[in-house]
Amino acid sequence: MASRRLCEMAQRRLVSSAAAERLTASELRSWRSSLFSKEQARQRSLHPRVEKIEVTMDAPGLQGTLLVMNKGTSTPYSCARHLTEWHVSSAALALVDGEPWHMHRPLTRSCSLTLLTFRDANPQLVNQAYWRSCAALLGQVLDNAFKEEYSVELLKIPEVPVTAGAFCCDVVLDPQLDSWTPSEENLRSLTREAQQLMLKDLPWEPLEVMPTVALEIFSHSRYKQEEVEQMAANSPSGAVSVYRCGEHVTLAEGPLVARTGLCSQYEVTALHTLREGQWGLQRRAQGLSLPLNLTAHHTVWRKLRKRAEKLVEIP
Amino acid sequence: MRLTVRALISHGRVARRIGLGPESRINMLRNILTGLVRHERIETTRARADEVRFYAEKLIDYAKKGDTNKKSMEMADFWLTEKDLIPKLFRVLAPRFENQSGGYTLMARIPNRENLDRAAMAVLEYKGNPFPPLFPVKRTHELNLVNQLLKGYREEKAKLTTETRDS
Amino acid sequence: MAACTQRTGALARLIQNVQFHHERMFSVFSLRLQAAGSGDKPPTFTPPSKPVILDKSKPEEAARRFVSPEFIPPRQRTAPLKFFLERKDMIQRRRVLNIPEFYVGSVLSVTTSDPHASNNTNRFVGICIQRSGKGLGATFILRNIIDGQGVEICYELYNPRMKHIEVLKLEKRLDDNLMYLRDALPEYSTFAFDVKPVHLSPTQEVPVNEMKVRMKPRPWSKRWERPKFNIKGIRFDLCLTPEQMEHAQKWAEPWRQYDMLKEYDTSTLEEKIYQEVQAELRK
Repeated sequence: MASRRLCEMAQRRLVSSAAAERLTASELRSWRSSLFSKEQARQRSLHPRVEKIEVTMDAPGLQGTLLVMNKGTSTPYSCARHLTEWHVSSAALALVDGEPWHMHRPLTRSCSLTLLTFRDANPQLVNQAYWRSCAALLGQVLDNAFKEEYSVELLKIPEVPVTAGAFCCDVVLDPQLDSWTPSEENLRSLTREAQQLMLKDLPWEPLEVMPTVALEIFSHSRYKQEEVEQMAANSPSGAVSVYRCGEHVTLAEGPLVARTGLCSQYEVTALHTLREGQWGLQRRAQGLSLPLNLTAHHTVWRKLRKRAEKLVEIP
Repeated sequence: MRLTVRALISHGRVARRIGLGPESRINMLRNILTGLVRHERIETTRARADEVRFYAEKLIDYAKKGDTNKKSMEMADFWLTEKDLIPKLFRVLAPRFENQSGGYTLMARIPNRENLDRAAMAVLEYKGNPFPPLFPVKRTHELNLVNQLLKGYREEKAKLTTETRDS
Repeated sequence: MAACTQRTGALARLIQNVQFHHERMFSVFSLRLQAAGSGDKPPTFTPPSKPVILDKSKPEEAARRFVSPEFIPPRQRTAPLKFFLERKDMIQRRRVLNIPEFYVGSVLSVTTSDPHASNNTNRFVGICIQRSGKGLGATFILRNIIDGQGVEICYELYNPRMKHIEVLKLEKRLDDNLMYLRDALPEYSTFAFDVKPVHLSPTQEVPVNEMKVRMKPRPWSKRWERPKFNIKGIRFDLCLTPEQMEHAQKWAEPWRQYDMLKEYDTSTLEEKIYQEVQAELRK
């Protein structure tokens, strides 16, 4: 059994290394994106007939609102579009029957729907999703930031509580870059990249896929494949949630917020070197961000930013 | 008070001249204050409400000394023209503001009177009354993102200071 | 006590063992023992000190607390810093000049330096009829009748010309302002210059002289019968008819005592300033 597993591993490594040699980073991205689109189209075609479901809105001021939506097509976002523009622009996350639900994930049954914003009485769920999304955005920026000849391997995004002060994204850079220490200028250019993404206001598109599809999407990265297997083992349904933003496809443990435009203040604050790991020299990129309509005064921002530079320890 | 030169250079004048003279002023304020103690929320012209507000707070300060205090009893007897309100002052209002020092009343501006004189009006109330609130209840924003970040910041700072003190 | 005084050296240890009920006695003895032991001479006879008799049945009275009224800032919007700085200056002056406790109605003798007088000083004795002013500019007025002529002198308390203030008789009167003595018979404001000061122990309450004065025939400088002045120290029954007294009540403002806006409660302020002044003077 063990030998077979070893064999598989070796094979996969061979495949992945061969593929990596074949494809450059941008090609890899578009390839993953095309696979994502293909799977998305396949899942949409599962509902050829329009079936109606009833969505009851459950929010202050909206009690008793009943929306008749299409099964498998309508998302919380389309429900919000039936309400007001404020709901469209400020809803960050949805709560379907008490379960956190991405804004663009299709509804599959009649349910009660709550739209969550950053200014709710208890926005902890949204805060956590926001922190996760900011980390995903940071990963996307890091993936994009280097030249074609340097490989970038994004590790699993660690779950950090908001009170830790910064969101983190672990990354293993090309061995040639091991001696590189990022300067202020480098961090600033990363920040600028992120801000450009925010300006584009790209949505995060969710997709629930089976592990086989996910393995295919991430077939060029052996680390990602392990992560997919781990996530599939942990999730009760065996499915893995994959998100796409622009052309970047990523894995996430929980739902992300609706779009990148929800971030308002964003800054990459530090890139710490952690330790020599299995995959190479691990680094931890950290950043600080605040959502739309919750921007901080510059004195407060400076304090928070100074704190976000410190390395966040993850137990 | 209106922002006039007279108010700006007050020369020690703190009271408005309302009514027909000092005695009439006090009697008018007495009547308004009695109404305030009875109903706990009243509507008067803005100047009168502002004027009676000071006396309403001082009366509570006296009432907190207890009904055995001679001065406070005299004050209650003078300011409450309807004597059945004296027990209410000492038994209801004074215990209500026991843990509070000052700021017992709340004044809110309301639109001018629809009368011929179009006088500026205000609502004056004792806090903690049973009526629906004048202003919408203030929401707490403790859990929002900025405040959570600041909470973490403060906790870390407190930890650092205790550590430096210990070492 | 006689035994204690005989052999000083041997008794020093013994005294420590003996339990003294009386702390003051103990301090007196130990002082004397030290003085005797330091000389190294044969002990000369020292008369035994007078026994101090303390009445233990009465609780020990604290010295009376007194804050001079010019320390209390008036009720106004001026920044408190101004009064704080003035207080500091006043305390500095008080370190040099002893300004005793006195009230309106007390008889004072004031010595000031006067360049035109012989031997450059001027002494005046009189009854204090008014204290006014706050801070460094505080004043008091002394009144006396000299050669049948009424004389009033207004002294500034913190004037550098002020040399010495002595209280000849510490007492209060029924009123806080004795300006009506101008219209009273001259015998009430006549005071001899060569009186010895009457001692009043610092723990004793200041006595209130409940004397009521008889007035000269009207007209007076002010209508003292009006309720505004609230004067208790005049025998109005001798100079005014009941109808006139009734008529004066027309100007009474009975609501005034209930107007809380007019109240100025200085008790906490007084306590704070008392502590501050005491702490500063002790330095």
